[in-house]
Amino acid sequence: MQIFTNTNFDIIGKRKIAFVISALLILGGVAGLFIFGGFNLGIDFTGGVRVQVKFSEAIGASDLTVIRDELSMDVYSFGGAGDEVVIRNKTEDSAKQLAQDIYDYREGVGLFKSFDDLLQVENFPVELLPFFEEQFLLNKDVLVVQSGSESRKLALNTIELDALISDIETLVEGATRVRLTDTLAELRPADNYAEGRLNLNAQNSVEEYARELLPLLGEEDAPKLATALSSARNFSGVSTMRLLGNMSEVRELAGNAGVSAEGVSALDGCYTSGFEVQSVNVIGPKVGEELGASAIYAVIIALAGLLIYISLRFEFAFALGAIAALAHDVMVTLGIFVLLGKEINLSIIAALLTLIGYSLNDTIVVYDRIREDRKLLRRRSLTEIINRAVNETLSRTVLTSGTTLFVTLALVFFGGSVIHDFALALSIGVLVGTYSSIFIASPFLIGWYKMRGKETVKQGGTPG
Amino acid sequence: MAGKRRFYGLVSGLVLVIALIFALPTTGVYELLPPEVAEWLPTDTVQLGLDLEGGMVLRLEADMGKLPPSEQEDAVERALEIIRKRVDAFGVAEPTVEKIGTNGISVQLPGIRDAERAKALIGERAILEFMLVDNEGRLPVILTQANNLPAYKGLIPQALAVGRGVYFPGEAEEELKQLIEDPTIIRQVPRGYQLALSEVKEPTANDDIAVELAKGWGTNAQPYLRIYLLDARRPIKGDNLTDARLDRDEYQRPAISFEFNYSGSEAFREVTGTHQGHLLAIVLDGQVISAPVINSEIAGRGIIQGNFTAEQASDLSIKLRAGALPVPLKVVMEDTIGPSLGSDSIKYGITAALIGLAVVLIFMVFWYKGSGIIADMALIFNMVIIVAALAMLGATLTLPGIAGIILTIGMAVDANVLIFERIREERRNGKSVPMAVKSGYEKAFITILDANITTLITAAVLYLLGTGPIRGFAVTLGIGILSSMFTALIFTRAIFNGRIRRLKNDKLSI
Repeated sequence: MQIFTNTNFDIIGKRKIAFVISALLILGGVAGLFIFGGFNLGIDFTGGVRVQVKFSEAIGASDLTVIRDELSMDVYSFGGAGDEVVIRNKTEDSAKQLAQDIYDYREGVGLFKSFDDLLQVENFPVELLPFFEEQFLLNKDVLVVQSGSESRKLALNTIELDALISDIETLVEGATRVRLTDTLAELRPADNYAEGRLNLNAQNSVEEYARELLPLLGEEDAPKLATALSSARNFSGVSTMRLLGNMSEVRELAGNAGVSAEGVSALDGCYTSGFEVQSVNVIGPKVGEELGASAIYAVIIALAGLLIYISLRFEFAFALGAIAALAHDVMVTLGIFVLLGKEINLSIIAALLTLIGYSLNDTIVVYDRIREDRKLLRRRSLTEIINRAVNETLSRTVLTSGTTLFVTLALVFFGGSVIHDFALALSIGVLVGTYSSIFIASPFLIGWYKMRGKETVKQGGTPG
Repeated sequence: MAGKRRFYGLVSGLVLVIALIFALPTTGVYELLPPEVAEWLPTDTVQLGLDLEGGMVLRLEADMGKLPPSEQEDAVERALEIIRKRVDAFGVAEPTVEKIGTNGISVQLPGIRDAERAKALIGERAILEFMLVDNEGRLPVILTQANNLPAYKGLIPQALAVGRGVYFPGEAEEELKQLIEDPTIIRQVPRGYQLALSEVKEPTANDDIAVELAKGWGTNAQPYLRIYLLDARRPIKGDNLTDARLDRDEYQRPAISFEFNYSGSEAFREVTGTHQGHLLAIVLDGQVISAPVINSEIAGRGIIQGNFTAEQASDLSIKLRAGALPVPLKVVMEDTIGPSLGSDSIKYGITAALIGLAVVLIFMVFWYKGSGIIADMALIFNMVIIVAALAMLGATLTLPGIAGIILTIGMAVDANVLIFERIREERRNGKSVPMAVKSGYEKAFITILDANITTLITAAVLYLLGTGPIRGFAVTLGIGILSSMFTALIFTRAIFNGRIRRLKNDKLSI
């Protein structure tokens, strides 16, 4: 099977069309930035709390609205099954603003005499008042550090602005988590819950179930139920773990598994939770800034390293062309992410860096051929040589992009919710990177030499 | 020529055998082998990252502002050492504790479920001190003076003396905390002494003090706390401890038994010998845990009683054994991944990898026929090398790491595609099969090298500047690139060479 054998597409001749398409794509992204008010940055960069929650059943749009209204945070459905939700609260702006407002009130209107005075502060979130009562002291100019590193109490009337900002950030973060679990527990209450009972959704493997159930059910029944519960949670091959819905489901499973009557009645010592917090990610705003900075460094250092390498192996013009193609790839991919409303986080930056490596890989294959053909065909014009080289490598370019796209798409569709956006960025990147190595990187050389008045020079070049 | 050919075959065979041996433990085939054989094999398996196994990552930052400059220098290093000891004693399998930047510490705890407990275990300072309780009745005097200040007018009258102690209702805790730190009050305290509080105690059934207090306050039994005046001039410090263990007191309640080193022992003997009948307060991070009566001279060992659960007493004994943190730590980043999310991610990742692999394998045979089978063998060989390399290097496999492997599946065939396309081209130009193969490999070599080195540069940058999971991605991507270069340039070459020799007519299935 062969395609693109002895092709002779006039890539260079069409380069202006390509430049226009690329410019439009980039402009689209920029327009998106204005329309959506900037990048949708994840808490990796802004600081904040991100909680991934799984429910015992799919959660509808109305429930999402309830959570959103109750918490006034970003809430969105996640993954394919509809039972996973991500709740996100960025601390950065809201906490900083709140600290500033409190400070302004104290300096302008006057000292706080009771915690209720806080409600007079502009835009004070009422739901946070109890957390202030726990965290802050009134009227004292001393700092009390309790045992432990986190439970410090601060004097609200004397605290400096910087310290206030940092402590409000901590407070908002803590409050977020408490309010979040309270809200979810109200929305999906646990079945048969009481202090000290065993949460049957907290185990995973058969061994774990058996170990936890042993004291309740005894040696006879515990292993039977353990097997039944574990397989019920893993119910079908590739799909995700599922939460046990309620205790009647558990009793039924126990009955079917041949658990004795005493065993079934011992199940009163257990409960099933209506939701499970799958992951909690808390990032302090300072760490967020650091992570953001190191992501930018990473991109810059990678680009610099590549520029140096290509300059050494080829010519400087080739390096410039490659970098132009890479900048193009990053901008177009980011632009598409902006238009899709996707979150930009650390893993997306990693995907962008990978795409830089991949796109360059593609570009270099073409450049390599240009270098080779220039030695072979000294009498031809640069335009002809570049056209020929792009055509000669077209088959390989399309094949490799194809196989890579297969696997990144497999990741998009079967890789699960956590990796979905990362894989999507890679897939877009592979497409854009392939396009740019054909239509941007090589035609750039023509533009460059034309500008320098070298296009007509029939030269052999100076390969590294 | 024949020597070179043999070289390719030999190297490929050798690498294949080594890779299989190191990949074996991870696949689980291991258990099926007879012990005499298994004994000789390596046991390292690929370690799963926290995002796959579940667990907790904490990033702490030392609060240097609270330390005198003389103590700042190696405070983070000492804190690191102490956290390591605490985590080890807590029994976490394969924890990682490392320094980040100048004041940061990262702690990774695989398999941890109780995030709050782990945070307390790592972040609390655990400064233990033994101090004598004032025996000259100066506490009531100070409280009487406090009563003259308007701020404490409502507070002080609630104080009740029972036995040798002065108690307040539990709800007065916040006000009392203000009081003991109030400069006007501190001025009333004799030099070298300090006020301290106990924790708030819930009244229990046989709690005589709670009964007496309830009578005095005219209420039902309610939570209470005690205020102390401590002689802080010569505290005996917890860093003199040589051991601390979870133990039981005479009522079978959880407690902590401890042992002193020589100087601690001597100091303890002196204090207990000369102050019999006095109270000795055991103070942890500024709070009095208990204050038993000194009945006899005590030297090397003792027991700390308090209102502990077994878990708390065990964690406290761990902290005491490991020592106090030299600097307050603040949690600046926290990542908790539940075990079911991790196992979901593994399932998803493996599914995607298998699907991607199958599609690419089929496609290569469809496209390059016989030669496609060679490329497929190389691809599978590649996977074995990656697993083996991860196990050998003790690298950690994360979810992005799995993505890196999957990406390698797609990109690994690139080298073969380059070579095969080149061979086809050479054949079209009329070269014989051996010549086409030879020049195909030679011409593609430089391209493969250049193209892969650039990807390696980005992988290296990702590794150097990335955090946990992204590093995992960089590692698998880097290993994948190297092994795919090896399989494409050496392994497939060896097979081609073998086939060409046996080729009858001048036909190559490509």
